[in-house]
Amino acid sequence: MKPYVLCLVLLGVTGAAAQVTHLKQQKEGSLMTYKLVHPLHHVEATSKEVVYDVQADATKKEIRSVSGWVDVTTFDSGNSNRDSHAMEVIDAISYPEAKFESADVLQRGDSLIVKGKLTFHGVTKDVLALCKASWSEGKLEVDGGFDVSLTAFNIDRPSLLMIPVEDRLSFSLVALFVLN
Amino acid sequence: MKTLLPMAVVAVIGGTVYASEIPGFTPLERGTGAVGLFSTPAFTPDGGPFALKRFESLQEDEEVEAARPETPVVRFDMYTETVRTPPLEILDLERADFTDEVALFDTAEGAPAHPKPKLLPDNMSLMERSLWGEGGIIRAIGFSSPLTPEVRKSELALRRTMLTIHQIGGFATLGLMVTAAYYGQRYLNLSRSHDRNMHQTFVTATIASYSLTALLAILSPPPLIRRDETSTTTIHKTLAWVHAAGMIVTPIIGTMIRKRSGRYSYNDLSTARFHQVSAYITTGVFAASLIVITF
Repeated sequence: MKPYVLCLVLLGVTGAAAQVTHLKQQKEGSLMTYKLVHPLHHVEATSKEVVYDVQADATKKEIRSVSGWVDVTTFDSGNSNRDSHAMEVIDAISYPEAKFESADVLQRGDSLIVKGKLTFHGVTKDVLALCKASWSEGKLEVDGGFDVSLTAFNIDRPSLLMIPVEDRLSFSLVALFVLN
Repeated sequence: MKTLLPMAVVAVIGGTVYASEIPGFTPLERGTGAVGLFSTPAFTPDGGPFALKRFESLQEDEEVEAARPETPVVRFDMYTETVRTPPLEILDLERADFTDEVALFDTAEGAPAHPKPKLLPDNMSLMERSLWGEGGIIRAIGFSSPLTPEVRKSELALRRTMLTIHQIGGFATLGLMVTAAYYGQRYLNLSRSHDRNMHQTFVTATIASYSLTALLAILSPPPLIRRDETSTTTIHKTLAWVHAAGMIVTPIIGTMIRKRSGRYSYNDLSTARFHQVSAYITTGVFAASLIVITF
C-alpha cells in the first residue's frame, strides 16, 4: 500500500511543479531599445533579436522569473556609423552580449518589480527593472525598462564633437509571449 | 513486481514533466510528453551541433524507428511552434529550417551561444577592402598584423583617432576656407595686392588642410558595422563628393584669371565670377557637410 501512496505524492508534486512553465516567446514584436542622451540630440537604437525567457504560472497570472539576452551588435539606431562607434565604446568584440537574469520578482497586480543581475561590457551589476504585464487571450505582453550608468559598467562615455553623452543609459523592453 | 510497475509508470510520467521544468535545459531538451523523453538522448547537454548528427544517425536506426510513437505532440519552448507530425521528421532540423534557432544555443550550458561579431563589415568600399581587407595592402606590407579580434580592436582605436582628427580638421579647414573666401572677395572689390597674397596663402593652407582631413577619413580602417541605409553619415559622404569637386575646380579656375595692365578683360571677369561662385558653393556645401553630421 505504501508504494501507491508514494506514487500519488510524487504525481501530486510533479503536477504542481508543472504549473510553472517557460512561456514561448513571440519573436515578432519583441524588442529592446536603448536611449542615450547627447546635448545635440537623443539616440535610440532597437534590437529585434532579443531573446526573452519567462517562467510563469499562466493560470494564476504570476510571473516567477525573467531573463533576457541580446547580441549587442544587433542594435540599430538607423545610422550604422553611430552604431559602429557604440560597439567600439562597449568593446563588442570582447563582450558581444548583454544578459539579464532575475533574482526576485515582486508582483502587484499587473505591475512587476524585477530585481536581477545585468551583465554588460563584461561587468555584472544589480539592476532593478519596472515592468507591466498584460495578460490577454492566449498572450502575455511585458513592457518595462531600467536605467544603468555607463561609468558603473566601465564604459567611457562616447563623444560627438568632443561633447560626451550623458552617463545614463535607459533600456526599454517589449516582450511578447504566447500562452499554450 | 506489483510495486515496481506503478513506480516505473510514475517515474516515466513524472520524469517527463519534471524534465520540461528544469532550468538550464535547452528548449530542445524540454520536449514534453513521450517524445520529449525519447528525444532527450539526442540532445544531451554535451551534444551541441553534433547532437544533430547523432540524431540523424538515430533516424537510420530501425529500433528507434520502431519505438517511435505514431502521432505524438512535440513542443519546443519559446523558439518553435507546436507541431503535430511524426517526431523524427520534425527533428530533422535542417529540413524544418530550425538551423538559426539551434545556432543560438550553446547546448553545453543550455544558454544562448556567445555571438561572434564579424570583424569586418560585409559592404566595405573598394579602398577599405584593398587597404584593410583580410588580404589588404596594409597587412601585406606588415603595417598591421593578420586579422584577429585583438588586431581589429587596435584598428578600431586607430579609426577613432583618425576620425576625431578628421572632425577637428574639418572645422579648421572650414575656418581657413572662409578666410580665403574673405580675402578673395576683398581682392575682387579693392584689387589690393596684400589681399591677393593673403588669399593665395589661405588657399594653399585650405588645400593642404582639406587634403589631410579627407585622407584621414578615406584611409581609416572600416567600421565594425555598415548597413545599407540613408543616414546623416551617408548625406555627409554624398556632400563630400560635391565639395571635393569644388575643391578641384575652384583653384584651377583661379589660376586662369589674368589681370592685364591693372584691368580685367571681359573674359577674365567672367572667369573670376565663375571662380567666386564656385568658391562660395564649395564653402557652403562643406559647411553643410559638417553641420549634417551633428544630427
